Amino acid sequence: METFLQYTILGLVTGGVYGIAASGLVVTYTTSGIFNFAHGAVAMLAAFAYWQVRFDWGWPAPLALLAVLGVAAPVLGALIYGVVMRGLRGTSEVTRIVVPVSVMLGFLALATWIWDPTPRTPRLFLLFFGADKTVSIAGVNLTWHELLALVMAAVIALALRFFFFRTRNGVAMRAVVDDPDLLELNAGRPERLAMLSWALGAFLAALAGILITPIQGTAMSATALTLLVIDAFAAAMFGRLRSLPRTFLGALVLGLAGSYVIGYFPADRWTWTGNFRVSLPMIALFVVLLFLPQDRLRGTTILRTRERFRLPSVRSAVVAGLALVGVMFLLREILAPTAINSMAFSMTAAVVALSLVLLTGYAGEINLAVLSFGAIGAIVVHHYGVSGSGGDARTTLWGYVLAAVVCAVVGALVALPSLRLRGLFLALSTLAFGVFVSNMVLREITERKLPLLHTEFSIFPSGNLTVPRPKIGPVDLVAMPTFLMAVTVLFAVVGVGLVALRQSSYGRRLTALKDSPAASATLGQSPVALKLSVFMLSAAIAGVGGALMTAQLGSANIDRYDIFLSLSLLVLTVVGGIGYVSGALFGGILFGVAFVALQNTFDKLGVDYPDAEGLFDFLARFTTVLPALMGVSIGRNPTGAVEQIVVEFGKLRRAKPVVVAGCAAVAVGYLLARNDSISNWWFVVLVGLVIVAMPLAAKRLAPPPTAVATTDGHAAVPLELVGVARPFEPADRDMLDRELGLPVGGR
Amino acid sequence: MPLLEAQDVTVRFGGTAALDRTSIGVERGVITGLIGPNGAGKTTLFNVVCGLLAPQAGRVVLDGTDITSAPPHRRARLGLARTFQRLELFTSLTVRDNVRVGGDIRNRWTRGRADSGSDAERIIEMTRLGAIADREVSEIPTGRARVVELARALMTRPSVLLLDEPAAGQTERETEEFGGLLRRLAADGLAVCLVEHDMTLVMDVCQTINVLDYGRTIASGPPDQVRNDPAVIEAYLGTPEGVG
Repeated sequence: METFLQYTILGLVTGGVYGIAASGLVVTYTTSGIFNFAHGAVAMLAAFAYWQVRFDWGWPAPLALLAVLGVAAPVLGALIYGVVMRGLRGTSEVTRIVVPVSVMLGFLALATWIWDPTPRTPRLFLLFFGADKTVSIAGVNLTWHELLALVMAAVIALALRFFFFRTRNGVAMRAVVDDPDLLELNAGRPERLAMLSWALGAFLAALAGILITPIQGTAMSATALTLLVIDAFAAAMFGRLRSLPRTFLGALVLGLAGSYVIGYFPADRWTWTGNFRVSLPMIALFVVLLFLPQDRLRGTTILRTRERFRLPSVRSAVVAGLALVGVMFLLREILAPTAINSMAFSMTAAVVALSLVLLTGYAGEINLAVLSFGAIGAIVVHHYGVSGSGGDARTTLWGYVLAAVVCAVVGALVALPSLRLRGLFLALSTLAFGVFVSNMVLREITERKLPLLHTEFSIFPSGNLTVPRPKIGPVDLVAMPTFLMAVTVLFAVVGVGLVALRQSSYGRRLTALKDSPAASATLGQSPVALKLSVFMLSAAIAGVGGALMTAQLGSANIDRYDIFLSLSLLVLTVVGGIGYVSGALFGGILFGVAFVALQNTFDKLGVDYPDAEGLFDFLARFTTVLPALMGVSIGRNPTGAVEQIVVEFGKLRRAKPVVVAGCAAVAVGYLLARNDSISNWWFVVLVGLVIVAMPLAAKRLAPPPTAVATTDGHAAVPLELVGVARPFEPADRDMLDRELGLPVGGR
Repeated sequence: MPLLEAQDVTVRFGGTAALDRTSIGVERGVITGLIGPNGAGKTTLFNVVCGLLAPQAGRVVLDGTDITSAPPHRRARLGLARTFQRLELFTSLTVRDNVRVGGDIRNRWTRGRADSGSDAERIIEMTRLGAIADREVSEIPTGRARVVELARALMTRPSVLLLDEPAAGQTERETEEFGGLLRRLAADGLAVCLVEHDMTLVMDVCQTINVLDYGRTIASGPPDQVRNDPAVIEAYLGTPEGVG
């Protein structure tokens, strides 16, 4: 009985802290409509900042608390909203998920930059009041710190209740949830309120982070704290991301469940207990999703999203695919073996990214854990797709087919509970799935005796998965250049297939579902069936891509399928242009080579020029934050980089000589590089220069015929707010006349 | 017996009843008008009928089948189609593809091999959208967009068509043309239910009119009768005492 009480109280303590974190998540989500994926990252930054001032610099606790909780955290929250999230009005759900994910990745990179993840002396984060201050409640010893956490949870719960129902700002915040436009017309200020709520959310995250760090007791880990967001959202899901009381209830349930698992599932008998406990929030999440009532089908919440993807014809896609294969063939001739390696890795990442183009670009659904599907693909190929042994081991075509099938089935299981719900919930399910795969499936490294089958089996043998390169019929892809070409061809074929799919009736139905679920359903489309089919197809592509990625590496450990890598790949693909096959290529190459190459270059420069080592060291570290910064920029340009490049190069049609000159320069450079007259680096520089210079030169030689007047500034203000949000202009009257069919400008 | 019937439908949003035991019937080959002041519950009734909103009480019956708990797509497959007051076009598709996708979806559920492309051309011609067929739907004026929604709905070959304020944003001439189109569709046997504020159009094309006010049916009958009904006049213009 005493142990039961012990575990109950421990569970209530962690549950209370989850509750504090989760309520912050609910507050920001309800007032701004943006799910703050960076919530855990804020908690993490706050914990590290507190450690810095309290334990490294030795400030007294009250001062340190004031600095972190009173100043730094709220300011950070307000800044996140003011600088980044505010720009997301009128963007699609995809952008509103990818940008906060980028912020999270950025904070994580920032933390590892400032606080070395492997310090010489472990960082000590002590309990408040020390470990020896204890009280005894019903025979259970409780530290003052734990008591404090419990009390804080209760105080926060009551204070939030009071704030939302009894104060002016709180009531106004609840109004923002219901209808921000209406509130604005009634002289409320939704922007200011949203900023306030983000400051409050960051404060709650910081409080949770500071309270939970010493309770967990282990060394401070940036990633573990960042993933606190998952525990928080699992709790928040109990309240459908809306209700605070139910959120607290969910948090307590989670805390207690985790505590009882530790107490009654002895780790010495079952090796998976620890992994299971970490996975509990994910499991709880799936259960909750199963019981959530169906969402109302939504119409287009925004009349015109800022993302515009134009549609390439299948013919031009075939031409582009052939060009890609050709370019890769030529590149292969001049690249060094290590560069061919990285390039091949990038192309496998690009294949994985294609699954995102299909799922996210075409269908508007989100998978935050593509590489977890990749891991499953690799596991299937490892176990069932290898023929031969030793140096002659090759993977078979059937192995990859099987991987695709298994991943499609797993995808269906992951997606089914949340397909009835909003896109965000599917995204959260995949995130939970990804963490679940990392925590439980990929940690199954020892052999287990399978019940009934009487065989020993290990999912992820000794923590290192070997997948040999494939041999398809007579074609042996063991040599890396051949493998590179094969993956490039595969990318081109799948890419052309996707473009053709988008043009087919299936593609049109996907687009319809993405643009207006309500209209699509009233035409007779079953949303769940269509979403399920596209998710399965996408998971299959991701699985094959992941298996190929592992084959490229030869063998991979658990870190290769990390959830944060999946998130990076998604962000970079969106940066490239999620609606385009070329966006996947762009994303894959950024993911595979670009940042690593950049970092290596800065490192080498630092060695070569010791005087400027500090600068180059800074730049090399800066590259770790770069992907996140690019992701955040998506809020400004949600259609992606490829679109801009296409637009810029579209101008070249009027300037043939420029194109000829540019191509000639690249051809000469290529030949010189091939003869080793110039190094490949100079060739890269040359190509870069040509790419930048061509549109500029074209602009000089052939200026655009007439500048087209844009009404972008006007389009941003909804019609009913004209005259409120900005002054009424003659142009508005003309527009009204036109729409009403009156003579324009007439009296 | 009407082809589509909503019987005693009640919908409450919080404390207010948007629909209070409202009933309406729509007959084959007849254009039925549904009018009432703003907030009377017209769009709410449409949402209940097509399955986007679950009522607290009441039934929806289509061709003898109770569809009250059927999801929207199943109702569409039974022959129900609608347009939206707040336009719900597929903004990343052209006008032509917006129409065509209606046929694509129908092909899917009928397991048919009909060519959605040529079907779409026929409907586009009938609705006179040919001139703007290759434009992006986000670029076309609201009045035309309403016709695109109608064309898209027709692609599913419905037996009942619900139109939510189709004339809003149309010019007078466009509305006239639209009225002619509706009459032809009804003459071909389609049951049409028209929510509209443009009284000229309503009085012109509807054989029977239902008037809603605060979620209750306050009058129904042929246009001339409804026009002179004191309750209707009161709902639209207020009571004489209120004016004084």
